[in-house]
Parts: sequence; structure tokens; C-alpha cells
Amino acid sequence: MSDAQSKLTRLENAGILEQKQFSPEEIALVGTITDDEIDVLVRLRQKLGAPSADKNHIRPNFIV
Amino acid sequence: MDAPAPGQGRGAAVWMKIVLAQKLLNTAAQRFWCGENVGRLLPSFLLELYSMVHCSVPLMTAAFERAAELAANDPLATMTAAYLERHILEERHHDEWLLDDMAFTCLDRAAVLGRAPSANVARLIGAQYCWVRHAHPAALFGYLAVIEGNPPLPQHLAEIQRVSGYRPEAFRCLHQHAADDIEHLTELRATITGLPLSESDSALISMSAFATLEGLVEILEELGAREKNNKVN
Repeated sequence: MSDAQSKLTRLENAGILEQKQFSPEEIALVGTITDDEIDVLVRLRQKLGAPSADKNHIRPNFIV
Repeated sequence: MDAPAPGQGRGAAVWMKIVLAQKLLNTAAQRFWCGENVGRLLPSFLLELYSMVHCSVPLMTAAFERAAELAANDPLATMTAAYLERHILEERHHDEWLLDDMAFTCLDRAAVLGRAPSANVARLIGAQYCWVRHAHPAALFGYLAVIEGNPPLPQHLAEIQRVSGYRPEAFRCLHQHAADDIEHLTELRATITGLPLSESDSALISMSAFATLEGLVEILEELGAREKNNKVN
């Protein structure tokens, strides 16, 4: 398994990335994500849990 | 680190990471706004938001000035300065608009003005000053992209207004951002994906984006936890 594929699998297993939501060109960039960055994403996903499907539309965030 | 795929620059790779960060921030925002007592959470959220908005133009100005200093021999600094010069004009006075809106919640104007930014906001903004001054002002792109990545949408704001019971006037600034930020995000994406980035530049902007993600999640989680503790007590 290539490094990029290994990272892709890790991100998918953690519920951070779904291949179907990204173009092949974008997926090809996954290999540029460092292990430390993946660690941050996985840790936050574990902390926050999965997004709620039924209320996915509510997302007002911060503004500049 | 793997090189970007053929035909794609480092800016595209940075944007890919920003998109992943935005999705997690979306989950954090969803947890926050779908909790109980939105009416009590909203003023707390607006206080933190006001601090950030109030700090944003001075932060962008500091980054612009640093980029302008470096621009003569630095194409990345030139592009950073050009973007910030435009964006500062777009974001001016938003803190004043927000302050006017906050008067339609339970928040006292004088109390808001006299309140120091929280430690969480100071960490978020302070990190950017550090990178602007001691690394490269392009670091600010990571902060801006994560913050502007999930702009409020009119239907979200309408639902929060309904649930919270506050008057529409409390949401005017947020509604204005709902109208403007989609365009801002499109421009920001085009700018970031077109930046002439070295590997270290890419790493810096990514670090800024991930630190911003962690900082914003911390703010939302702490506000939510504080509300839960108040409820228990």
C-alpha cells in the first residue's frame, strides 16, 4: 500500500474523508497531508463524534 | 511529504487540508447549535465572536504591513499584501455592526466594550501575530480560510432566531456575512490555490489552519460546557 493510500484509508476509517465527496484530483493530494496533521484531524473527530445527519444544515460558524 | 499530484500546485494541497478542517469545524458548530438553550448560548457566542471580529482588522493590517515590507523580493508576500489590502476594506467596521446587533440580546454595550478577549481568543489571535511577525504573513491565509470556510446561511440564522427567541435585529451582521462570505470564500480559494508556495510556506499555512481549527473547536466546546455547568448548578 502506498503512503498516500495508507493515509487515505486512515482518514476514511476515522470518518474524516469520504472518497465519493472528493474529485480524483483532490484525492491525489491526500498524500501531502502529514502524519501530524492526520493526528490532529483524527483526535478532533474522536472528540467531536460523527456529524448528525438529521441536523446537518445547522452550521453557523465564526465570521471575520 | 509527498509532492502534489502533477498539474496541481502546493496551494491546491493546502486547500485540500483546509476543506478537511472545515468539515470538522462544521461538526463542532453543529454540536454547539443543536444543543439545548440556544437562547442562552447565543450571547456567549456573540461575545467571543465580537472579540475575534474586533481583533481581525488590526491583525490583517499587521499582516499586510509585514507583507508589504517583504514584497520587494518575495512574490508570496506581494500576493499576500494584495489580498489583504482588499480584504481589510471588506471587513472594516464589522465589529461595530455586530456591537449594534448585540444590543438586541441581553448584552450591555458598555460591558462588551470593557471586556478583554478570552484566553481562547487571545491564543487564537496571538498565534497569528507570532507567525505573521516571526515566520511569514501568508500564515494568515490558514486562519482566514478556516474561519470563513463555513459561513452562516440565511436558513441557519432564521432557525437560530426562531429557537432563541431574539429579534431579527440581533442577526443583521450575521445575515450580511451570509450574503458576502460565499463570494469571499471563492476569492480566498482562488488566491490560496494560486500562491507561489515553497514546501515550508505550505507547512506554515497548514499549521495556521489546523491551529485555527483547534482553537475554534475549543471555543465552541468551552461555551457549550459552561452552559451545561450553569444548568447543573
